[in-house]
Amino acid sequence: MPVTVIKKRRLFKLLNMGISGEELIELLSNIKVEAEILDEESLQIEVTPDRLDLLISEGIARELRGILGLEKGFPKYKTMKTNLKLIVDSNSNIKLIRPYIAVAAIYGYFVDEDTLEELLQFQEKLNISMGRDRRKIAIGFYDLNKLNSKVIIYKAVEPEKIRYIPLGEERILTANEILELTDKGRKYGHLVKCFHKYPHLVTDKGQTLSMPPILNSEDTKVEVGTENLFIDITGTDEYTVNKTLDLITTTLAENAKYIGLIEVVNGETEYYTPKLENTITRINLKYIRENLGLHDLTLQEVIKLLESLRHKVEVIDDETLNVISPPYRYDILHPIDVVEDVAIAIGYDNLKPELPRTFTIGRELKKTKYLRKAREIMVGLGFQEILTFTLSSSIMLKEMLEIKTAEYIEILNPISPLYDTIRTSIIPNVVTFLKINQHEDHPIKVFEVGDTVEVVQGKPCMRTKLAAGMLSYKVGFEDIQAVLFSLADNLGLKIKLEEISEPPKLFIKNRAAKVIIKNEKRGIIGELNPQILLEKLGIEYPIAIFEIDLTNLWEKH
Amino acid sequence: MLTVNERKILEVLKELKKAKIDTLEDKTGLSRSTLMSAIESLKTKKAVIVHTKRIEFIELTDEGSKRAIQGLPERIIVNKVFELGGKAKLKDLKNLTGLSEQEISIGLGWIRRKKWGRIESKYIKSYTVSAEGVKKETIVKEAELIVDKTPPKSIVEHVLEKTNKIGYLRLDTLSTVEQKAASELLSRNLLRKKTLEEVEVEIKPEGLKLLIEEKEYISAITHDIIKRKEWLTKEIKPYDIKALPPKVYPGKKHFYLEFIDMIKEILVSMGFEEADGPIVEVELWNFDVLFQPQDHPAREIHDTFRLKFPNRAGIDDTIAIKVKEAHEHGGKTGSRGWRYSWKKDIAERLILRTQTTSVSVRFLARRKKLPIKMFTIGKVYRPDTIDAKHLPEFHQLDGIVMDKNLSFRNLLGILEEFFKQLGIDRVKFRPSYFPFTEPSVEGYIWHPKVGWVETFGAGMFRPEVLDVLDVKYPTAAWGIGVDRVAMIIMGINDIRNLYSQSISYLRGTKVLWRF
Repeated sequence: MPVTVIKKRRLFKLLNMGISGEELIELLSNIKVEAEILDEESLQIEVTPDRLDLLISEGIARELRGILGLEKGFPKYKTMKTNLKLIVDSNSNIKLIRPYIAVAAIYGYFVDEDTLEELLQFQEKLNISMGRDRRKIAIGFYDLNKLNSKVIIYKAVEPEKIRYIPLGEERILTANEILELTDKGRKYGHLVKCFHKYPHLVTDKGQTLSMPPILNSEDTKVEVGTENLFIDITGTDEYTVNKTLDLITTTLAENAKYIGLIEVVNGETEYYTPKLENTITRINLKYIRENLGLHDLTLQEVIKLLESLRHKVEVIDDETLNVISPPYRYDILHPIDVVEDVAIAIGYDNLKPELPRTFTIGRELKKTKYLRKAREIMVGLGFQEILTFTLSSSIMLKEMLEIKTAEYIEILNPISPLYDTIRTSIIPNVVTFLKINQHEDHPIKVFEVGDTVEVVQGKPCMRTKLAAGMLSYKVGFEDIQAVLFSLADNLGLKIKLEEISEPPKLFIKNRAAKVIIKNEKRGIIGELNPQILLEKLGIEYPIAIFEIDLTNLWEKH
Repeated sequence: MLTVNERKILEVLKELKKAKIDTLEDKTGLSRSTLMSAIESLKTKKAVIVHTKRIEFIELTDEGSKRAIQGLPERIIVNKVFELGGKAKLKDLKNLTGLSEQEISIGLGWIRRKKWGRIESKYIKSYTVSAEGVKKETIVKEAELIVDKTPPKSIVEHVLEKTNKIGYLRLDTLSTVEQKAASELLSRNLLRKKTLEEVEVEIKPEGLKLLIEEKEYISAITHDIIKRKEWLTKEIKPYDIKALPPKVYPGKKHFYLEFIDMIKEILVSMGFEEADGPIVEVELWNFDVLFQPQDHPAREIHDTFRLKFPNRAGIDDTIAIKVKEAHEHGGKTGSRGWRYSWKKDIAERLILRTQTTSVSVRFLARRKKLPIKMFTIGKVYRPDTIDAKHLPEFHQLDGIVMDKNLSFRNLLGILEEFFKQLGIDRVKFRPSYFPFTEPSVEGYIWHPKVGWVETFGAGMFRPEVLDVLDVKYPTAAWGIGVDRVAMIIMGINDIRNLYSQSISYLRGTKVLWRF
């Protein structure tokens, strides 16, 4: 979840009131914002990915004003057409590289230190979350007053022709130098490196604004004292480009004089951005009532509730409403999203939980019941049940059980080579457990029942197995065989042991056997090889072990 | 008075007089630790004498092992020189034998001492020309090693070989000559000494007496004693009831699996039916059916274990088409959808499931008859590094309820009731976001020591999810991190303890816990 830090004094100034820490945290928790007090001045804010407009004080203040009843309905913001112009150079192949762009201006947004800090974080978190780390969209903020022209061009340019002082540097670098020498260049270079031309945002007088989505220029940077902003969003997804610009401009407008609309000339078409599109949702009172289980909710109440979350509501008839959601509410996909806003406006604490009258018969899986019986027998035989990881190491499986490649799954991104597969057998887990505990009070008798995954003909197959092991000063085949036979007998299984000509080296050659149930190999039993015990595993005591595959045996019961 | 074990030991000693520990272990069938403590107690009763003998062994050092295989340097030199006609210049030995300078000087020393060869020196005239062109005569000494025959294998070599073959030798089993050879090898640092203690127990007359006197008592009542009515003629030995008994450990179910069993019992009592599903899952059921867009960050490799082999599995086309429609433009629900181009290829990728909600939606895809109350508990996987709060695999409990007129308040009611059954009276609900539910809620449970702890996420399945599954009725769903709930209720601070690898921890867990 996206996290940011805001300054309390800034939030309170925007709200025009102060709120105590505890109360503020509680209020915010009711509008999907998890807040934590960092120090006297700062709050850490965590928001859900559907409400990124709450990542900056302006957005939080706007929402709080509604919840606190200080304002209701649609937030007000002024717009004005500007004499700025963006030309998309469609001859430059930009359509094939990073096709979409939308731009806006914000006038009368006074940047002080607190604002600058929040603004840059807001930009960065939106780049990561909305922009999928700049792949889908990337945002640029500039000091409008520093631009040397009213006409800005977006085009694709050969890297060697891009030369400017990038943000935070002191000298002119070429595009390729930027990708190699700057942090952002190294981090995001992969987004453009595969093209022979790079996106370039530049005035018609040759002043570079940025090389999206990598890095802005030093000359146009926003700093303390900036009063007017120019904003660009470029990306690969047109809807997200426009919606994010709507979100940013309407949110910053809470603290600015007006939003400047900019003419975009894009080939044959001309239009203004930001588009500032509202979302209109037709919704039925009955739908809200039924979904929330609030059968007495009136139309008037719903209108009031939705207005407190800054929606505008038009009454169509006694039963139907048109809910108009402001441009920053990109999360409204369906009437159900409006229903949730009604619930949030009521407050989850005020929704009385109510048990449904649904009558059903509860039951466990046959598998659960069967395995519980097996576990109980093992416990009755004096074995301690253990619970270990199903993530396992392929090296260990190969060494202990001589499992071959293509018989186990391989994890593409393991956290460590110790956990690069799911176990195909529980034997390594039991042996490892016995090894760790070899110096505890003897005898040590343990078992585990659990899932394993084998790969059969290229397909993963889940198998449920039971493995048991004994370690003591003196323990042998017969000891564990007695346990296996008792378990099988109590479960009503007819088992047979068959010789293995070449058992895995973990076992002693003539003290290991296959476990057969109904002509099917279902496991292995044996004494462990003393040489492997001592030299490979570092175990100084004898171990006898069995594993039996119980998969689907419960079906017959 | 004698314990049963002490009696066993004395019975054996009565026959043997004197016995080593291994023998006693064999004959009495007692484990070594029990045996040692019984012997200790017999010693205080003056029934036995314990002889501890220090036995000296020799074994090879690293250099010794090397020499045992390659031969001693004197042997290597002598053999080589004899092979080359019995004569070699000393300065050539290094090249001829491959030995180091130091090894050669050791070898030559022993050759001289053992008289395996002799060194003869000659003086040779040689001329050098100085820088000024003046010819200068110098006399150089040149030494040669003469070997007339290869000596037979020495006793030293024999001892070295024998030690290598057996691994170690008891010094007291060696003959006098062998011992002398061994001390040469010890001084040459090819062998080292090791001492071990051998314990032998001998019975004393008092021990025999005790054994006979004790006959008058009955210590263990046996079948024979009962049948022969021996209790009439002998006294039954009283027990020291204050003494602590030996430790025994019962077989036990794992404490955390017992907790999971209890959760299952609660849910069954609330009318829920159990289900399960695969842990190796296609992304379709883990993400796509759940309306999680294909570029959602949770689907990236930082948050999901993906498989390298096998890496894909086929998926059902009917579902795939519906999912595509739902993602791209909301399907038939009136939703706007995510507005991107959905790829079947991504939905076919195999992963380790990140949530058991995959089981819930699989269940809904095959069962639609009203009403449904289902739960599942199973392992889920996330690429987290291991610490006190995180594991790469943990348990999740998922539940769904589907019925006509089911509402969001019903969902809250079920969750509150479930926690009440678990003994948790205070639950707090807060709005949240999941791609597959709306309204969504996250839940906190109250613990007097820890405060509010976030433990679950829940919500009503979105229309886009129900549309794909062809479900016509509202469906409530939730997922609970069972590990965290168990930790709170059982007072465990470190999640790793739930999967403890320590038998003494497991033996120490209680079968009842308070909450």
